[in-house]
Amino acid sequence: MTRARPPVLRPAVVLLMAMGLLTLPAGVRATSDDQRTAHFYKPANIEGTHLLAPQRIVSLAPVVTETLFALGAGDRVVGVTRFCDRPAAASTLPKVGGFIDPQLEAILALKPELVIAQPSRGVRATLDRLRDHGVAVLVVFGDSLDEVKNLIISVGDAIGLSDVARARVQALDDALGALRRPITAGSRRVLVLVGAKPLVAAGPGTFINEAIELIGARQALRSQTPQWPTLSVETVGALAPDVIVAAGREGDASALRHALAGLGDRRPPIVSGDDAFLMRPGPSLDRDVARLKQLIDEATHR
Amino acid sequence: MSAPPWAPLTQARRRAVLVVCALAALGAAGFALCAGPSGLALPVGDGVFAVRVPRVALAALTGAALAAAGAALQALLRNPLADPYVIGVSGGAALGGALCIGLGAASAAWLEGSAILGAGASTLLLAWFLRKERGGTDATLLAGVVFNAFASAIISVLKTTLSAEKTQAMLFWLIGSIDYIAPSTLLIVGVAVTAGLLVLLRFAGALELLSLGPDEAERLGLDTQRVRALTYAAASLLVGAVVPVTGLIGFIGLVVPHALRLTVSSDQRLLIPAAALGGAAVLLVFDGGARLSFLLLDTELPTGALTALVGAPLFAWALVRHLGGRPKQRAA
Repeated sequence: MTRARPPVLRPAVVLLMAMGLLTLPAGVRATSDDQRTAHFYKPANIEGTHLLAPQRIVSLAPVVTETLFALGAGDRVVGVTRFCDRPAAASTLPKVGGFIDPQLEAILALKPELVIAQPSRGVRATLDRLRDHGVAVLVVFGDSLDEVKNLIISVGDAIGLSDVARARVQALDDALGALRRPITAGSRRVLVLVGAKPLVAAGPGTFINEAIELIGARQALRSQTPQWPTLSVETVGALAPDVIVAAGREGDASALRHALAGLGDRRPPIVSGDDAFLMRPGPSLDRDVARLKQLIDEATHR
Repeated sequence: MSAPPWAPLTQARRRAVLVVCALAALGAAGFALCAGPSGLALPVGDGVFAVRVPRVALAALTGAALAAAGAALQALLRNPLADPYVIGVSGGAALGGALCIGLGAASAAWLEGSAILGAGASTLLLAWFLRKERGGTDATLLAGVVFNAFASAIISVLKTTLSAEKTQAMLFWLIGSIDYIAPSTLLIVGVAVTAGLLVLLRFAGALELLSLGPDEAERLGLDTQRVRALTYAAASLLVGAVVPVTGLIGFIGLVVPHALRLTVSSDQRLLIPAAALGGAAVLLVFDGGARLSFLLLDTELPTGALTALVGAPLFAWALVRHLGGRPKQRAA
């Protein structure tokens, strides 16, 4: 005997497909309106709003590590992630895991007084456990120029080096101000690619876009583009930027030249800085922005 | 499912079906050539043609390879739900390619070779696992789930140890996407896919005999071991040839043969070439759609995500239909 086909099967299939299609634009254009300010969580037994001068600090983000060293507190850093390689001294410190997968036991074994992290799903649970173990936690954001400045100040406040941090931010402001140029009709169109496989661009709403506009260049992507859109070789050709900047290392520029070889003569000049160029907005952001301007000027012969 | 009794497979009908499939493929190719990030337009000017044609060719080759491999695997395993993606053959190819990327040897030739080896290893494992089975949905799907889980676990380990750049490349590759590739790489893929298709077409008649059951086929004089071995090898070659350059594009190998079996014929002598043409047509449409998505979303959706979006619900429907008590239908 043949069993009757479930009466809800066909509508269920249609509903599933419709739900999938409806999530596409939502997923692509998802943005967060959450207030992005640093959060400091101190254990109950600590007086005041911050620790006075923590001597054992664990950093869970490369930009935090770089900031700690830039503020002169490198000797107080006892643990870093495996991606923390700036400055060189940081790469010799004990490792506590990755950027999104820190290891709780490795962190606790270092007996930290303060852990500083950037928010991600993989970190949240670990930070909660650290708080349960009486460790102070500072969560900082750094996805825009303003957030980078707030990051430096928040870190400085948390480790008792507020004046040093504010002086550093002032110097950063002055340096960026000296690089500021107006956007004009003749401004170069710049496309910054952060990946070759796939081709991922830095779009509007990113700190890279802020850097592009600060130096008087124009973003090659449309204003309604998502923050990190995926492009095809053909799309890059259609955008026809005056110059393509490869964020990351020099090897990334080579990978991009190979990936975009199909454009032939239409391929714009592809340039790159060294180290983690434009990938880690932190206390040396002014150096990256100055290098960005220099590379664009050289590539477009101005 | 057998062809309707009022439409026997004659040479004329076979020719007519193949002509329709070929026209569909040509039409889809025309659409794909005109579909761009700025909308539908002829690909002229500014070197667009030079960039789009290799991508369209890759989409056609990939669709043909996956659909033909799916049809062959369904015949071999006597299971209409066998698909290179579902039963782990694509996972094996992905694992081979991921190991290659992880070791840093990512030239096109190395990637192709390791993916083909990976696909071959997974089909051998599958064949060994099912050696005593005479076809059966549960065993086949379970074998595929287990192997895919294993391959995913290995790939996950690689992801956590690789650099961020390699991890990103691997993640996107696992979703499956189609983009421009160098003509030299396209040539390698084209030769491999052509070789695989020719083998399947050569043994289509043997596969049709095999669908009667291995014992019956042997009684009719078929060397079933040789046919199985060469068909598995051809399917592995087809999947291994395309996965390194496109990543994991799923459900083409399931949905296209299944649809043709329901509407045209289950005779392998027609199904395999029709699946190749139909797979090419379907993936060309999806890839054109992926390019057009940039117009709406300002970002290009991966082709593999689109095929999964449509294919997964269709697979669920096919699975429930297959398990829902319809009269047992042979896979071929």
